[in-house]
Amino acid sequence: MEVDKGKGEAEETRKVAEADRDTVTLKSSDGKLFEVSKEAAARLSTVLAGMIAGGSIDDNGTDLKQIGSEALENVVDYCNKHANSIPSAALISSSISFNTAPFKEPEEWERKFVDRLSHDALFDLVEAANFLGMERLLDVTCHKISEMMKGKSPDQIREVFNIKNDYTKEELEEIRQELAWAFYDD
Amino acid sequence: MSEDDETTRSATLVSPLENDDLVANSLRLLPALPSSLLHVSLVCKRWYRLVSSHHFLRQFRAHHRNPPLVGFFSMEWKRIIFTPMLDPPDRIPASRFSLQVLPCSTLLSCPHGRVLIYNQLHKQRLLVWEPVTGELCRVSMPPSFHPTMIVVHAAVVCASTEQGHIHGSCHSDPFQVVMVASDREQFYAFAYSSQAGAWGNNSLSVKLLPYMKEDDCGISRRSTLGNSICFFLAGEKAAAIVEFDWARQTLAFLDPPSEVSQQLNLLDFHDERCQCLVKSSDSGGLILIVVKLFTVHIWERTFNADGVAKWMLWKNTTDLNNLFSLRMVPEDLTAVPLSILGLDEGGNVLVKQKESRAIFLVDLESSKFKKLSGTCPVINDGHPFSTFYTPGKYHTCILQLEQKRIYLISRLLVYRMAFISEKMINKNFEFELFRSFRCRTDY
Repeated sequence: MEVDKGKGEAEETRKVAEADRDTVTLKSSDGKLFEVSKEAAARLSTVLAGMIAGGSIDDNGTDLKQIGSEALENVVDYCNKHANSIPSAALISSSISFNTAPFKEPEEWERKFVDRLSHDALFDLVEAANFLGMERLLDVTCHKISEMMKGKSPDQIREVFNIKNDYTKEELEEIRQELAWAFYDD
Repeated sequence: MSEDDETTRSATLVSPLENDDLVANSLRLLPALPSSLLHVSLVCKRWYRLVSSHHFLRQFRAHHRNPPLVGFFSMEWKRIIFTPMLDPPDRIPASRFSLQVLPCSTLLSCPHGRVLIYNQLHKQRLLVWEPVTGELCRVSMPPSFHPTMIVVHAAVVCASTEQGHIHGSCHSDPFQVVMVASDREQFYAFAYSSQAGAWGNNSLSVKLLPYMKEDDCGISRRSTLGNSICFFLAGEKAAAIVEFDWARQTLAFLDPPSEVSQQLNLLDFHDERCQCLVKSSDSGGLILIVVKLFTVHIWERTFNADGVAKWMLWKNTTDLNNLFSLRMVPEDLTAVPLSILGLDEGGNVLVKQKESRAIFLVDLESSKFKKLSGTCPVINDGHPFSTFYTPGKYHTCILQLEQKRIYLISRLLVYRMAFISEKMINKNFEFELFRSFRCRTDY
C-alpha cells in the first residue's frame, strides 16, 4: 500500500486529519512511504504504539531506518490484513492440541502470508517484527522458520539456512555414537 | 541482487540467524519430540550452546508445558523394560532405558521423569531411578514402616520450588517420595524429602472401613496429581477415594458420588467392566472418571459456598466405541476390550485396546484423542513415561553426579584425601567411577 502523493495532496491530508487520522505513514530505509491503520499498528506493535502515544509519529512518514521497503511492505500488509481478520477468538487452532500453550498456532491466512515469502524476505520480516516489537508477527515468522527445520537432519538444516559446520569430525562422531538412535535417517 | 537491493539489505539489522534471541524464539517452537533439539544441536556449536542453556530449556518447556509420552516402563523378573512409543527418529531404543534390579521388585510409578521401584524381599527399600541421566538413589523405608505393611501407592515427585517450573526434565531438582501403606487396620501416609534426606515426622493415618479389609476389595489404577496421590477403593455397594495430599498434610477418605458407590458391582470392577480413575481438574479439584465397558461418565467434585463438597455429573457422556471408531458390538464381546492405563503428564487418559494393544490418548473433557503409533507391552502394568529429552543436560548431570560421588568418597575417606584428590584428576579414574556407577545393579 504505497503512498505516492504530491506535495499539495500531502498538505491537504494533514489539514483534514491531524490527530484524528486513522492511519499512520511509515518510511522505509530506502525512503518509500506506507500507510497503515493506526488502530492495528498500535495493537500489533509495541514500538509503534509507544510512538503513537508519545506523539512521535511524523505525518510525512515516520522514519524506520532499520527496515527495508520489502519488509516494511510485508509488515504493513500483515497489519492491514490482521485489522480485517476475525478477532482473536478464532486464533484457537482447530487441530488436536493437548497443550494449550500461550503460543497459538498460526491461522490459515497467516500461514499463507509467510509461506509465499522467500528466505531473505522471511528473515527480513523476522528482524522487522523484532525491531517493531510485534509479538504475534514474530511468533508467526519464527514458527515458519521452525517448520523449515522440523524433521530435518543437521546436514539438511545447515543446507537450508546456509550455516557452516564448525564441529570437528571427531566431535560429531562422539555425540552421534551416544545418540545414534536419533539419527536413523542419516 | 541489484545495487539497490544491496543497500536495502545492508541497511537492515543483522540476519535473524545471527541473533541468539531470534534463533531461540524459532527453536523453542520445534516439537517437544526427543530428536528435535538433538538435531539442531548438531548444526553448529553456537546452536548447541543455545539449546543446552538453562534459559532456553526453560523457555522450551514453558512453551510445550507437558513433556511428550516417550514410552512405557514395565517390570520383568529382574529387569525394568522400556517400550518406546514414538516412531524414528524419536524412538528411544529400549536398551537406552533399561535397568537390572533385584528379583521381586515392583515398579510403582514414574511421574516427573523419575521411576520409583520398591523391593519387598531384599532389605525393604526404595530405589529412585532417573532413566535419562542414569542416576540411582536409594531411599530406605520410613522408620515407622513395619515389614508387615504393604505399599498401596507411592510416587517420586519433583519438589522444585522454581517459579513457573515445568516438570519433565527435573533431573537436578530435589524430589519427594510420597507413599500410602496399609497394615490392614489403617492406611498410613509418609513423605520423604531428598533435600532433608529424611522422612517427615508427621504421622498420618486413617482407620480402614470394614469392607476395605475384605480380600475382594478392589483398587483402581493409582493417580499422581499436583499435590496428592489418589486411588479408588471398591467394595460391594461401597467405595471411597483415598487421597494423600502431601502439601496440606492430609490423608482422608473422600466419598465418591453416591450413584457410583450404590451401583458398584465388585465382579464388574474386578473384570474391568467398570473402571475408575481419579484425576485433577483444571481448577485443582478432583475428577472421577467411571468407564463402564465403553461408556464414560465424568464426575467433578466442587464445593458450595459453605465449603461442602458435592459431585456434579458432566452432561456429555462419551462412548469410546464411537469415539475411537472401534465398531465393536458389545453383545458379541467375550472379554472387556478396553483397559484404562492411567494418565499422561497433561492429564490425558491412556486407554489400551486389549486385542490390538493399540494405545489411545484421550482428553475426555473435550473428547479429543489421538492413537499412538506404537503398541503397549503385553503385560498390563505399563507405566507411561513422559520426558523432555534435551541435549546438554545429560552430560551436565553426569558431571554433577561425579562431583557428588567424588565429594562423598572424599568425605568417607578423609585420611586418604591426598590420594583421592590425586586420583580425581585422573580421567581414567573418573571413567571407572562413572562406569561402576552405571553398572551397579545390586542396590
